Amino acid sequence: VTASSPAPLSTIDQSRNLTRIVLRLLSIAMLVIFGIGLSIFFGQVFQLSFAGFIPWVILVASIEALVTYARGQQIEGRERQLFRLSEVVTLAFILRVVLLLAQNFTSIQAELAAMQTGFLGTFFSGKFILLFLLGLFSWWTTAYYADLYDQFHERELDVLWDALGLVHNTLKQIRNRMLGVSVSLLSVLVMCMALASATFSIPGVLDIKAILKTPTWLVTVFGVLLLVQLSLTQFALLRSRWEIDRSKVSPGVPRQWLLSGLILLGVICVVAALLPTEYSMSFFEMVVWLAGIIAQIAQLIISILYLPLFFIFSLFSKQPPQDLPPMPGLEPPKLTPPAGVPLVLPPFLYILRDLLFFGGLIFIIGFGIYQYFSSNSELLKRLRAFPFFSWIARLFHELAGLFRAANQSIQLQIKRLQASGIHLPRIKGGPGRTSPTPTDPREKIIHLYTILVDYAGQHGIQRNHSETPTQYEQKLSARVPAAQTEVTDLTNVFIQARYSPRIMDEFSAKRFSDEIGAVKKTLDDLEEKNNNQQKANE
Amino acid sequence: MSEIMVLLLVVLIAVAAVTRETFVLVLGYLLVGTYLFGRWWSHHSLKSVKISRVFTDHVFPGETIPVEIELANRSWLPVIWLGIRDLHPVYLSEIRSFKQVTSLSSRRKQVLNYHLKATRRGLYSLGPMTIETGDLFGWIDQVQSEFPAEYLTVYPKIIPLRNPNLPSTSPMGSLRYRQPMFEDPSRPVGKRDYQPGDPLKRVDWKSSASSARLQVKVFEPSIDLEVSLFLNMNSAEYHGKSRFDGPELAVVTAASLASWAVGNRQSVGLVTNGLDQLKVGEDIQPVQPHKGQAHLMRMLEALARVKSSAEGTQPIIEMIRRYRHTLGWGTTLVAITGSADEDLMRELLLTRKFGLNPFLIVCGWYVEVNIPVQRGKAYGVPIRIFHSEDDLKVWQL
Repeated sequence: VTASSPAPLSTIDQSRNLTRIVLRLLSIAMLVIFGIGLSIFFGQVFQLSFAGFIPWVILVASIEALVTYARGQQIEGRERQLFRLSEVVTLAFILRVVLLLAQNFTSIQAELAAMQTGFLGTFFSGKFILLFLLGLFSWWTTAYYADLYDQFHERELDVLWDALGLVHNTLKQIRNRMLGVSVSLLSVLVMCMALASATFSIPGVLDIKAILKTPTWLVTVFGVLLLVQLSLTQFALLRSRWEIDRSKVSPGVPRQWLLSGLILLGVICVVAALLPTEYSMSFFEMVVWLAGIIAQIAQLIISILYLPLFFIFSLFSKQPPQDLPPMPGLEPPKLTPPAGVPLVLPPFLYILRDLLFFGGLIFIIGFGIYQYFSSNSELLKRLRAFPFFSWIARLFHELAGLFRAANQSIQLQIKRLQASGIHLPRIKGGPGRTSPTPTDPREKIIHLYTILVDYAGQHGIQRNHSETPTQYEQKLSARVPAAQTEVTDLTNVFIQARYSPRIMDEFSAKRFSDEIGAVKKTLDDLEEKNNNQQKANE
Repeated sequence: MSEIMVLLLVVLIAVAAVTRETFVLVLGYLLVGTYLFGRWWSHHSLKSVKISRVFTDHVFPGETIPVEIELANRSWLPVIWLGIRDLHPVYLSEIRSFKQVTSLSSRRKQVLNYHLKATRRGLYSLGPMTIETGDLFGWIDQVQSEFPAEYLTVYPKIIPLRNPNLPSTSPMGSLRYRQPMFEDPSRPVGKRDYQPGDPLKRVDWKSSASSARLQVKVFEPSIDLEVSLFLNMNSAEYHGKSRFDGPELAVVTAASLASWAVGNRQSVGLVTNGLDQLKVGEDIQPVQPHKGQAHLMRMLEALARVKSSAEGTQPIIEMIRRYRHTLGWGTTLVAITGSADEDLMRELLLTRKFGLNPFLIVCGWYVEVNIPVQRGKAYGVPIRIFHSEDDLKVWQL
């Protein structure tokens, strides 16, 4: 087989190398954005003047980790540990020098003098320790990312000799680890941004007012970088699959992937920026309002039900009738528009909009939870084992048992009433009994037998659910001895029609129908005879 | 992976709903948008791609078959990647499937090519073809659809014959013959002097007058040959070691004879007990004797599809008994089988009494020569033994 446009092997190699380089750059960019977020957080919450250093420290530490990563991989054992230690010391020294030089001349002089008296205390200042720890964190994260990328790359090369499933599973595991780190960074970033834009007030301890509006672009760009990382690693996964499958890959596929990815992300970013983000009601206000509406509706129903009783009791009362209790009214929730945004539309439109928005949110959350638990059945089992949930489950189980017992009790009473000769009105249109008369002989026989059982039931010969057709035949024959032959024949034909593959013909169905008529007539005669006898006795 | 992201989404949206933070909502929109759009795009891509497989579906052995897979993206959105896997039988190619990954821009068409080689007769299925695609981020698993299989018919090999010398008792046809008893009045070839016994209606009075001697017309003998090929595909009736090559050689012989007959404007039909590859478990329907190229192609198609089997096929004797009544008087019944046992010879002798002209061809590499020939002589049934396709060349002389 020859393909029209096979991809040269070097294209895949080039694509693979390019992916590795882009992923490394991505990790640095993500860490820098993370650093900017931290600087906003520390600057806003702790009012740290040196917070602006954080992104730069993170950038330098990340680049250093990336540059020295290859060298670190080449050496082994003690030499490697010493190499890493020297890196840390160098990083600390450079950071300290930069912090020193960033001050004015007088401060430098004062700090140098302080170092002469107490070196360690001055060198390891709080500012330095925070920046150094953040630098170390970014250094370690970059090295970890680089290690994961290398592992990913090496496992990708294994497709030439290893089993597809093995390679794919390993690649997926490595990818999940990458995503785990990135998602953790994003979560911390979101938390920091949320805290930075919140107002804290602990009397006498802390009083921070949200004066800064968190820049939306920061988290958005991080999200976009995360998606780019996802996209690149997904392409690498597919590429390994195609390669191991010996599929010819057209040269246009990587280009199309890149273009489509960029266009898609661009469009989604624009749409996300244009979608509304300011709402008149918060989520909890909406929930409380909805709960209020439900409560008011319930109150209204109770009031309507109460009215007849009220009138009846007022007839027996000597006192003049009081006024009717007030009917509950449905009040719209109070809208709290964002500061500086006047309400230009009628309030119900805002409520409708918010309802749609929160309805969509609840749907997405529900869908997400469903997806998550449907793909993690083990987690669901563990959750069920949790005491609170197991208690809830037990409660529902008990309630279900209670309802079942009540249902059984009612059914028992109905049967007793029927057995005592009281004919309860049959509700027509019950399930399974209202289907149009079947045309197939087999179905016709089954249908006619059902009619017979119903008819006999109305005449006091009910069939229990546990009774087999043969058992019911004995019961019916005992009560209607005049039609014993027909009943036996009917039961045999029904068993054949219901449980055997034997072909039933029209003749059998016709004979069955005639016999049913005969048994019905016998039942009617019997009932008439009983009634006459009862009247005679009376 | 998607579980982590779904969980993150849920947390983000919950945080956004509670805190009313713009950046969280925008991030939620971004992630939800990529998830929903990516999911929709994958399914949409698969639906919007129109696929067709173009190839010559009837070929002769030895021909190369170019197969074109035409892909057309009917959507304005591009198809990021499209994995195509088209299966085909091992007899048509060393590699059992064609696999390619490609991408399609919006409203574009693309043609993928591969070639197959028809090495042996048969009915082959190309496909089914599996098409798959996926999203950019791996949110969802790959989505697949299937393009149904199509059939390729490889006709049996035809060896051009010149004169198989099939017996016939039908005079005055379009086929030249040597015995003068089948002289055809519509084929005058000359004149000769009158001899006592010549019927007067053959006297050419004009020539007699001009030459002053009685001249009679001389006609070329001709026969009309209606051939019915009885092809035995019951491999149990072939020599034990020729159960594979014997039936195949029989098919080649039948195809060559049919081609020769149609080429000489004679009627030819086919009756076989072989199974139909197209309709599993069913026999090939008999083809009534007819003339013409279209009829030959129908026969070749039947011969391409016929499959030998040791079970489920009736013996050739049963086949002859069943169908000989349907043949016209004087038809040449050519039985192509793998052995010439006494029962078969007796049956062929019986067909002669029905006014048919039996002719037996025994195929197979390991077939003995002496016994069948002696039996043929004993029963007066002409017989030919072919060990390989080369033996058919005796009819090319």
